[in-house]
Amino acid sequence: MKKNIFLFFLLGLVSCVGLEQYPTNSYSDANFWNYEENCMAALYLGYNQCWNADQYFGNNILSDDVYGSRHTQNSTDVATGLATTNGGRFSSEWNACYQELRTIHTALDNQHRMNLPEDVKNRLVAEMRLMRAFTYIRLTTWFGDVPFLTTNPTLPESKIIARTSADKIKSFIHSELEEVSHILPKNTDLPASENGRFTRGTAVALNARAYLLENDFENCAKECAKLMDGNEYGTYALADSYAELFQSGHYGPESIMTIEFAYEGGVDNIKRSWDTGPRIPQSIGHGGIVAFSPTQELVDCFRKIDGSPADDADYEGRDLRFYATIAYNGCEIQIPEAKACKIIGSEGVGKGVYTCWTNPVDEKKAQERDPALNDSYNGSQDRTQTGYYNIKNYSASTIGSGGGSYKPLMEIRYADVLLMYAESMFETGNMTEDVWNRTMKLIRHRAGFGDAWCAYPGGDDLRQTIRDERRCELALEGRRCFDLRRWAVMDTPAIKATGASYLVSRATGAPFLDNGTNIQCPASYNIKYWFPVPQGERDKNSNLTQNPGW
Amino acid sequence: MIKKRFFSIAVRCSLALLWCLVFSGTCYDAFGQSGTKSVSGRVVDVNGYPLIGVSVVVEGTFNGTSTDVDGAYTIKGVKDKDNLEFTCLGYKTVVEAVGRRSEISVTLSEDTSYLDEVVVIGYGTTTRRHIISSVSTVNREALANRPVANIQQALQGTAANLIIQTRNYDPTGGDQMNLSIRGVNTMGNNSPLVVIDGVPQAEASRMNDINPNDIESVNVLKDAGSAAIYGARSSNGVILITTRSGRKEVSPSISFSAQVGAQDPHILWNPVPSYMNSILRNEALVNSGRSPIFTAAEIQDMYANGDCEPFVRQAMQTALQQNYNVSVSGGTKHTTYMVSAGYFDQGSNYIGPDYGKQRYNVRSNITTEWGRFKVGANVNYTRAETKQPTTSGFLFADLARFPTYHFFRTMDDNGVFYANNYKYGGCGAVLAGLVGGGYNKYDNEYISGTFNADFEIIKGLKLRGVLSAESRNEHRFSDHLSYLVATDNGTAWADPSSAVLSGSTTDPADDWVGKDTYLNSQVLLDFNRTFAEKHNVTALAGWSQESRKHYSVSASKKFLNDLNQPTDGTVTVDDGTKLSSQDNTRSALMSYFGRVGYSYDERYYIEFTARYDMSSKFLKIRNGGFFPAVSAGWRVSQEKFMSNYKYKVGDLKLRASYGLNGNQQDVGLYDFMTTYGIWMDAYGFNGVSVPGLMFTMGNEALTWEKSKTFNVGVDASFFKNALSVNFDYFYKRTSDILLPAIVTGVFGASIAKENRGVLDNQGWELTVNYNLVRGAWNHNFSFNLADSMNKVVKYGTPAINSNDGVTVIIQEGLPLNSYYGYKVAGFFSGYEEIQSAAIPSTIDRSQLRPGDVRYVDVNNDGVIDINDRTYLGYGFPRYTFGFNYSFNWKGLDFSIMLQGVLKRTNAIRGELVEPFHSDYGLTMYEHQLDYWSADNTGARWPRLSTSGSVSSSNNWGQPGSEINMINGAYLRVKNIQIGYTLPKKWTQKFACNNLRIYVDAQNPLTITRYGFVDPETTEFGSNMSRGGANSVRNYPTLRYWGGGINLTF
Repeated sequence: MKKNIFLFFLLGLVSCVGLEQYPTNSYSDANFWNYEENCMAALYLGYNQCWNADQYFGNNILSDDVYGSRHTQNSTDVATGLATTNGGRFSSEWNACYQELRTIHTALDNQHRMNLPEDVKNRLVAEMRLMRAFTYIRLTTWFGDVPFLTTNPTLPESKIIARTSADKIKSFIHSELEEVSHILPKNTDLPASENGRFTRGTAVALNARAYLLENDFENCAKECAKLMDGNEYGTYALADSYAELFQSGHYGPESIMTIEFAYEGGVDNIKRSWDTGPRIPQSIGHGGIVAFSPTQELVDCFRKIDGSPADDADYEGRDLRFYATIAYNGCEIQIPEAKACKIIGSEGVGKGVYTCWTNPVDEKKAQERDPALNDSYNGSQDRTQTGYYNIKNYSASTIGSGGGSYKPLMEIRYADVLLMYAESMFETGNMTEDVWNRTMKLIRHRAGFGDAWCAYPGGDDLRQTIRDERRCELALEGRRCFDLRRWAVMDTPAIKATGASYLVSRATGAPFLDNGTNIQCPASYNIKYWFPVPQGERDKNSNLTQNPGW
Repeated sequence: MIKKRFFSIAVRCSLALLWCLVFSGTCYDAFGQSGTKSVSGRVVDVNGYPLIGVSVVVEGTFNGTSTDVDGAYTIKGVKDKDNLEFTCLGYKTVVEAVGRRSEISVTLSEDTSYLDEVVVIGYGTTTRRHIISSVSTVNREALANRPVANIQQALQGTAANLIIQTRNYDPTGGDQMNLSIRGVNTMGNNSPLVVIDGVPQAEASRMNDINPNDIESVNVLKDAGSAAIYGARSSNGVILITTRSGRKEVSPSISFSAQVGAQDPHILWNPVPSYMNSILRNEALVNSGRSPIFTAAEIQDMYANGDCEPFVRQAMQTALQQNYNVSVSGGTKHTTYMVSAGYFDQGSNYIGPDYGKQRYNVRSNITTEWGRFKVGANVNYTRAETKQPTTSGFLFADLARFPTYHFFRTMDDNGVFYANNYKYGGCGAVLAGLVGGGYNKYDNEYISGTFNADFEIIKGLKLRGVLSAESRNEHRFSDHLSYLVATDNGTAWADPSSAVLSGSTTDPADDWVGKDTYLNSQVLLDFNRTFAEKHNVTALAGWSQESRKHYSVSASKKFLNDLNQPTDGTVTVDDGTKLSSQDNTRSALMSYFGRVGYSYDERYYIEFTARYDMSSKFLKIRNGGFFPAVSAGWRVSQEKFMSNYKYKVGDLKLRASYGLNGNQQDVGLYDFMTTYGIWMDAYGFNGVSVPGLMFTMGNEALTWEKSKTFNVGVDASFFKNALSVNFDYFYKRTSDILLPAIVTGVFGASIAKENRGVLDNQGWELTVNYNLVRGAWNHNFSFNLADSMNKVVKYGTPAINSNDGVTVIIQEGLPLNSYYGYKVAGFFSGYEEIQSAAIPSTIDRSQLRPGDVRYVDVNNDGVIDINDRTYLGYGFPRYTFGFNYSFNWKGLDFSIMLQGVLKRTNAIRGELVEPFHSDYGLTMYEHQLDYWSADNTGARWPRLSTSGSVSSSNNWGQPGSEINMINGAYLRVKNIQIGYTLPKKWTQKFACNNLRIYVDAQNPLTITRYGFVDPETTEFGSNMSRGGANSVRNYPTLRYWGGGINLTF
């Protein structure tokens, strides 16, 4: 019997489960990094969180190029100066950055566990470091001094960490980008299947951007020159056609950094897309609240083809970039294949070209001709507030029935490098005809201007010329709000008054905001220089100081 | 001295005398026949003191008397063959055969059965006399022969502060009870730990798998002193269930019981007749400034043609419930055994294909000993089968909201179901899903075995080993079917051939199989010895190891024929398939525990208890938790100076305990570590999608929730232990409660859980038991009353959660999830009042009318807005009570059990309070007729209006207002049973020792203010969290009527 008792206990001991348990149906640190596909998935999550279409488009609302709406209340409030330290735009920027840092450091902290060939791992780590630099550029640009992490914090650490000076972080950004620019592959060495992954050129261009944001024109010019001279950091050139560039040029010689999407076989099976909806004409968008109305001031920036300024509603013979950027009253737009709607001017349902009416009077006339037309804007908030829509990056052939587009978006392109170089050379007193011809001339030429307007104008005061060129060339690509900050022109009366055109469209004379409830910003453009450290963060971490002006 | 004693004895027996007069005192002088004699004598106690008022009765007759102040009595009309029965409250009854004697004097000894009652505590037993912590005992008598589906139902109302609420009466609806000890202790899971025959169970609901008839006793450990031995799982209290065993040297006894009854769905609300509903609907429309929609001719037609049966009644039926048990128990000199088998069958009250529930139980409890060894095995097998409709939880709401138009039909004999488009709304094919939509069928098997081995090393010191294993195999098969639906148009009936296929037209079915394995080994060293007669030392040291494994597999297919075979071999879809590698878990708990007790002269008691638990749910370096407790007791009545009291009154004991308990129920298996997975289409390169990492951040710092409980209690007995009173007061603070973690943005990820909440809970409980034996009468009263009230101490930003028109708040200083919203100041009486009153900011004042709801402007700012919201009451029952009375008299027995709540606020929403709710509630109910009108200004409900009108928004659209809160106090007759045991001399003729037949009723009567809601049901979970449902959408209350037979051979 005694034996039996001990058998009992023995049985109990051998068949039980130990006190140290790891999940048996999901991965933990103990086994996740053993698999190459898992390590790569961590990298891809980094890409996913690094930058996206909403952020790319959303920053335009913080500039005088675009008027937002109720749909973008958080950003609109920032633009008009109504946001408080609790503003959602501030915390979303802050949180998105630190979420990306969490992802990056989750991978970097586990480097030693990664079961990867050395070269694959080195490239992965370099890409992660580039993402980290990108993220710190975002943080330091908007918030200045921020908590600086190079490894994941514990929860208690995250509640006491103080801000590190932006200067220190910026030198980290520059040295990191400099280092990875020697590790990453060149764009010319990238197989097509890796289109969209970061290259040497990405690191250099980003570094140039970082210097530019600091108004360090000397270093900015040096970085730009790396891409303009020689092939050590890749080979870049302007695309031939500006219009074509935003249809299919995202993997061409002008593209340096992209935001990527995915599909399988076309618009019928989109895996990952961005929502064109609130930004493009409503009859081909999703018909909801418009979040993106380009301002008359932006439109005015696009000159007539001879270089002379255009009248408000004079859309004939303009800078070619205008037609690739802005949808205006009476313009013609391609209808997405997958979209089943009957629109004015189209051949049958969901096919061909249609005429976009942004003026209610014209729209009404068209509908009187054919009552079945589906080009009505039902309700004032579903209609552009200025008479214009964005059309840049709109490609009918890449849009599915739900309004999602899988066309990649270019975050950095070579034209930006040329413009940064031109500006830097001018600001450092080095502008010459040669520099002009290698930069501004090429850009103006592609925009369709005649030789006279493309030629080097000489003279000392080219600053506004270069800045205006930059505004047109990079319109609605998210750069304008940063340019206004570094030029310190946000407080100039002309820019602050941009809002005046929101109320009545100068282009059509129509009172687009026809009732008080839709007027979000009776004030003009009134953005503050810094983002505040979000109040919620300061409530949880008393060591976080606040920015000036808040 | 004598006088003093006389007085005290008179007090002691006064109640007894009263009973004596009532039941036997009136008829003792009617005798004087020949052949009889007079017998006299004296009755004294063990100390020789005379006992006054002792009942002396000739057994089996009404001839009786009682003793006088000297303890003397004389009784006439006694025959030689008679027996005299001497009964006195608090003393053991003595029966003397008369024989030739004419003088019979007896000595009665005190009845100490109450003090000797066995109380099961963690890893041992003690007696009521010695216990110094808070433990309630519920014995077999209170549980057996009850027409209940499971033990939780039987426990309702039996123990103070063991609060059991029903969430749903549907017998096939799974675990539908909230079980809590001493109210709400944590913001998370409040379920107590359930231990069956010494083996801790994973979930409280596992107690429902065992046969209530196999249960010997249920002990409820409430305070830290008693519960701390269960350490990290004990903070919500512990329920110890002990199953029956045989007794030594008792010849085999075979018991058989059968119980059959009818379950009747008690629908508490009735639609008004359809013609009346149409008139009321017109009134509501006119009140809302709209045109009436029913014409006089239509109303006339409805009046003339009467009504169809309400859909709810069409969908429900009375169901049969049966329960059969057979057991054999007994014992020899060294061995005891108890073998039982049971079958329980409860039909569903839904019409449709044989819905219902069956449970089969087999149990064998055997022990044997020789010398210093003792071994035992408890083996249990349970098979539970359930078949339920696949239709969702809104079925009841769907059934309830239609008027009873005479032309509404639901189905025909050809299997076609009918919808009806009529005026506004119409009705769907309400019975289709229930009758033709398919079913879920569960068949679950549980096998458990507990093996014990004891070895007595030296006198008083025992080594005990326990090995317990359990295997739970669960299987569900769901078959979803399509059916034909035709749509009638008012009185114009559709042709059945126009019916279209609806429901699950892809005819899918799926299988799910899960397996749980549990192992528990324990080694215990137990010491209990008394030295020098006065020093009693008890000690327990133990080690326990528990581990669990789980996996499940699922598979599904579509396009299946009636035999669930693929219709053509090609179209099969298996999206629902999951391998066991995708769902499997393991967990372990290892513990050391001990108890040391010392008592001096049965007067002073002190006991230390502690447990150290190590759990796989926490990071290794902090996976251990220490849970100590101390208890002390003082039996005041044992003191020399109390000897008089002890003699005259009874036992008196004061006790107190303080200790720490833990709770880990809300901690997931791997919550302390970061886990990783992969998601599809995270990004793309060159247009081709790539997967991304996803990670769930663990919280390494996770630890147990901890409760510190202070408890003081008094145990007292009166009338020589016939009346016992227990009172306890407790104060409990639970800290480190798991809540969503407060995470900074800089941290860069969210964390699900963090130990940060604090909740206080305090309350008291009173238990009174009274036994009265008077002649042939044996009465038993037991009563319990208890209260608990919690308060959130630390939570952070208040959480206001509004859904289903009811709002609850978690806010520091208020009870957890209190009702929150707008206070109601009655109804507007006139236009002047409307003009001057504060009204909701969104309401157009010109549209309000007399009879609309007026809200209280709490902050006096002239407008009703969210700042006027305030605490409106609490949905957890307070002052819960249970009362049980039983008697038996010459084979006749009767018992009644009452149970109820004295204070509770209950929020009801939807069609049952708001007429024509949301325009989909299409009928009014009889209880809504007390609405405001010029002739009925004292109404309960506001004037009629229709959805969308300003009045409706004002009256019903303010989320969480007092208008839909009702007083939830109630008294319910839970159970009544009347039985008769046939005289032995008859039954022995066919070798039957005992034959009892009885009739009984469950839930026959409920007294409550608002009869249209079952007051026992709750829409809250055990931590007062609310799901979407509310109590009126539930399955109706079930009432049971039946009878049974108990046979013992």
